[in-house]
Amino acid sequence: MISKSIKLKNINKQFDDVKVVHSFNLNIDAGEFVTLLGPSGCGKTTLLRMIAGLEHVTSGNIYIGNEDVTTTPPNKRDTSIMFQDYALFPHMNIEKNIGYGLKLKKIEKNIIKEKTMLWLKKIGLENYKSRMPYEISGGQRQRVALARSLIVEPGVLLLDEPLGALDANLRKNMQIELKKIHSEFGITFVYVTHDQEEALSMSTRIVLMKSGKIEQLSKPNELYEKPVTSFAAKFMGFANVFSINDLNNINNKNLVDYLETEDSHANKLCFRSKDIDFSISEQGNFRVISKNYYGDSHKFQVINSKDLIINLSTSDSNSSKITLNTKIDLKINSNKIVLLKG
Amino acid sequence: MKNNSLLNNFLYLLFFFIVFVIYLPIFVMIVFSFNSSKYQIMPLRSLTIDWYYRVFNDSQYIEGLTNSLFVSVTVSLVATTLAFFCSYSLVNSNFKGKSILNLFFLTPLVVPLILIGISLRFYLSSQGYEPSLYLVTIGQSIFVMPLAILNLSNRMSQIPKNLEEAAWSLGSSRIRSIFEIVLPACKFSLIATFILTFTFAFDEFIIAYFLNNFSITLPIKIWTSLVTGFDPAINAIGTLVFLTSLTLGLTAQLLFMKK
Repeated sequence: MISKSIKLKNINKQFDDVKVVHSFNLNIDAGEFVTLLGPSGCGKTTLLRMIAGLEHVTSGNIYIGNEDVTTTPPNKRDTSIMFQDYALFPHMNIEKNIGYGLKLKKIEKNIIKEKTMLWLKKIGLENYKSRMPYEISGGQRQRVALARSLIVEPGVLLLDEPLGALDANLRKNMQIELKKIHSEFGITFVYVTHDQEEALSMSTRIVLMKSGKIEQLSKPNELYEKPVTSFAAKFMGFANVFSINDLNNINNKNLVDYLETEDSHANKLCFRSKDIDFSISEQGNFRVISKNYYGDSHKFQVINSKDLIINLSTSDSNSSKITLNTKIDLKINSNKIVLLKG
Repeated sequence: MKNNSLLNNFLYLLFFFIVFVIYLPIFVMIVFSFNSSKYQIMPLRSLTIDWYYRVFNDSQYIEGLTNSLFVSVTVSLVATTLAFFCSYSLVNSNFKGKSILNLFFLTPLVVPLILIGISLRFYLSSQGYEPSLYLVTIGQSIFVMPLAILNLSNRMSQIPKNLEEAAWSLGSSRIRSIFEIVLPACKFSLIATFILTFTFAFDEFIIAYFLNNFSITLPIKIWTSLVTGFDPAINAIGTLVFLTSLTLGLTAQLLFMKK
């Protein structure tokens, strides 16, 4: 398979009066695994569909490899798309579904059969080849859809929330499998999801999107550890995002010292709920207002006299002593604090 | 509660009364088709199937039946095929004025048949076409088209759009995906539509009467037999037509449920 690069140049997309993608620029190298991450309605799926050719661009250019494909119909693009509901052809059995792309390429029948068998083995469904799509499970359907997309050896594989319909266990396994397939074939993957964990576990780079624009483009660990904006911080699971002024209310000397020496562009900061040290203390400034159990951790919300609410979490078993209205003292380690630009 | 069950019983009876009223004449016709007497009066004299023999040995009935079959099959083929493509474009495109166009496709359903008959006859005669079975075919195709479009576009709007999109992305052209993805997905609806349009065309009288000259269809033959003095064989032919229509209609309904 020949992996291809993608270049999106100044893409705009408008549906009637609603602008869903704004002057979008992105270069994806051949062989990358890039995830478009964002809440629903941020334009990530529309962007993917435009790369596939299923949606016209209002303005701008799309390049796949070195070729301008902006007006090329989907069947002439070197892309293959996989949908959340898999879109298996209901009137064809598994074997026919997988081989359909090769049939379109006018490849000899016995070669189609051979290659289809190879893929059926690869996905462990060789005994299911004459079943119809409705006769197999969701996870199996998913693998059939993947095989159907990959058998045509596309330069780019586009995946539209392909794991969205699977249960949590299966989803974890498929993440590992997808990642394996990506490194095995080395083709470019563009993956759309709203699930940050999926994005973090598989991507080489993540494009965090908000209202049709790039909010942050970085490697998974950078996005997780150093979000740039409060939107990115919240999306990556930072439970505590405050403006700097608000946080001055906390009686914590270290924190204030640290902030005074930082650059003045930052006006917000964030920290994770697990990065807060706390202890039960009669003199504590904070009072517990909620407590929830999550299996491997407890999560608390605490409030001070100035109505500042902070989220804490701990996997310490001592936390069982903490109940509603327990007084608590907080310490936030200054190197766990991430400064944000708006 | 007591009141309610009274009302329920009443509605129940009403339902059966209506079914009775609808089917009584047909039932009477079926009964008399086996009556050996020439006259439509009870009690029956004795049972016979002579009238059925007579229908099948009367060359005029056979000619009418052949003409009717020819016209109805052609009509349902033409209407189903055209309606398939019409429905595809109606369901899959989003141009300005689509809903108005949709309305135009469906209006023949409410236009009195006699208007379709008269206007087509005048227009086609003015173009030099003599009334014939071919004109009947055109007229009836127009008549059953809305029905076919309604059925097929209803089915087509239930097919997930991304089936076709998946096919395109695998390299299929639009035309090819229509035949290889959409057509099989509409299989049962297509057969049902074919049957339904067939029964409508087969029973149609007004258009057939206006656009015809000498080659009569079965409904016209029945009508002529009625006005030229009652022929009991009509009971037999009516029974046959009713049973065929009923079977075909039920089959169509079942196929629609199967999608």
